[in-house]
Amino acid sequence: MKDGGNIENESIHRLLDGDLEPDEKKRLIEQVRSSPVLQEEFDALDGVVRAVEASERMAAPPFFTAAVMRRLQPKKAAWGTRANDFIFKGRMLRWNMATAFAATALVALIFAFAVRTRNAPMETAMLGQQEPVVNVTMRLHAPEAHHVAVAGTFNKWKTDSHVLTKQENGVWTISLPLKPGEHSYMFIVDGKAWVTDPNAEAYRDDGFGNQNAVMRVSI
Amino acid sequence: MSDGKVEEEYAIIRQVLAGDAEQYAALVDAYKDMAYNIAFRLVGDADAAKDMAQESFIAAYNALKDFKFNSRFSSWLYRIVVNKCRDHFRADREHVPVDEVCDFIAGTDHTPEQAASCRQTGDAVQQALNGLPPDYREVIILKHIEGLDYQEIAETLGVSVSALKVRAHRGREMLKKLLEGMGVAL
Repeated sequence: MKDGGNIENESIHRLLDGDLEPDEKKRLIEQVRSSPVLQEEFDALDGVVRAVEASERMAAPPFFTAAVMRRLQPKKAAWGTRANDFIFKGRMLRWNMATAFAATALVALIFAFAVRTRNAPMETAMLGQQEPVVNVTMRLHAPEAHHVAVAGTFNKWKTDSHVLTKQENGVWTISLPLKPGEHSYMFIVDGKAWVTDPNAEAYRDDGFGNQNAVMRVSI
Repeated sequence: MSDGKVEEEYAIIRQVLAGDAEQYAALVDAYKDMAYNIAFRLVGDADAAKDMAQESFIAAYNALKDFKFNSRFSSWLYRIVVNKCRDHFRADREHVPVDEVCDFIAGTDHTPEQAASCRQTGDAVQQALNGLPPDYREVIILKHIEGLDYQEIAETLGVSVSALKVRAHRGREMLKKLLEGMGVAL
């Protein structure tokens, strides 16, 4: 009998595949039983299927899973997952004495820096408290002037940092917080003329042929 | 396979995709015997089967981002194993002694010594499977060894159910002649 060469042979394969309807199956079985040739064909094909189905199922060799896992490349997780793991996932730290000493030194350094930084503003504040300032008002009568500034030891002789305000009576005034002590100063009128305060309580030669005004501040 | 089991596997896959590669070991453990058995029956060699099965799991892992959560992992893995074995056949056609075994089909070129030798292998079925064309062998193995139905095989191999039945029909006929030629009583 050739491969698939007749209807009965085809039906046997359909039977083996479970594709026959009950009445078709019954009719085929009757045909097979009545024909030694068909019976032999059916037995042989059924035997093939049984032999294949009964063949041993091969188990994977030992350490199969470990061998696969060793060859896997770690997957890159999503950014959010990685960030979450970085923050919250527990991890083991490897260390040795060298890294321990280095870490200890680093912590000590950070601590010392923190203490120093924390104390610095306190020292400044204390200095501020130890050296209080006194508000002093300076005056210059210059009704014709358009601009008057004052320069002195208290502002390192800057000619534009402290500008006086003109009053209605032609007097220019400015109030400055000065530390107690002696301060030399001069007015600069209209940005060019250095004028000595005519009402200063003292004067000192500036070494350039002019007299600096001197103010003594005390608490 | 129950829906719960499928969902459990989906959860593992999602964990692997999230970066926890160690979870993949659970899937390898669950399907290593299946993958190895199919590979062994397809290529007929223990060492090659181990390589094919391991390569299949690695390929599945590397392509896991493409896994569609609408089918079973096992179905996906079947397809990968079969494709790996096809690649193996293409790369090393001489590996499977098809010609030698197919001589039995004609029934005239083999000697009694060859037939005796074949029987002594202790696995005449495997010898006979080796003698089938790969297309027939795939269907016979998935249908009669793995117990898949034709619809599952069709999805795995990308072939219509009717075409698969034709292959199974012809494969069984060839196996009958091969086994009879080896003196196996059916």
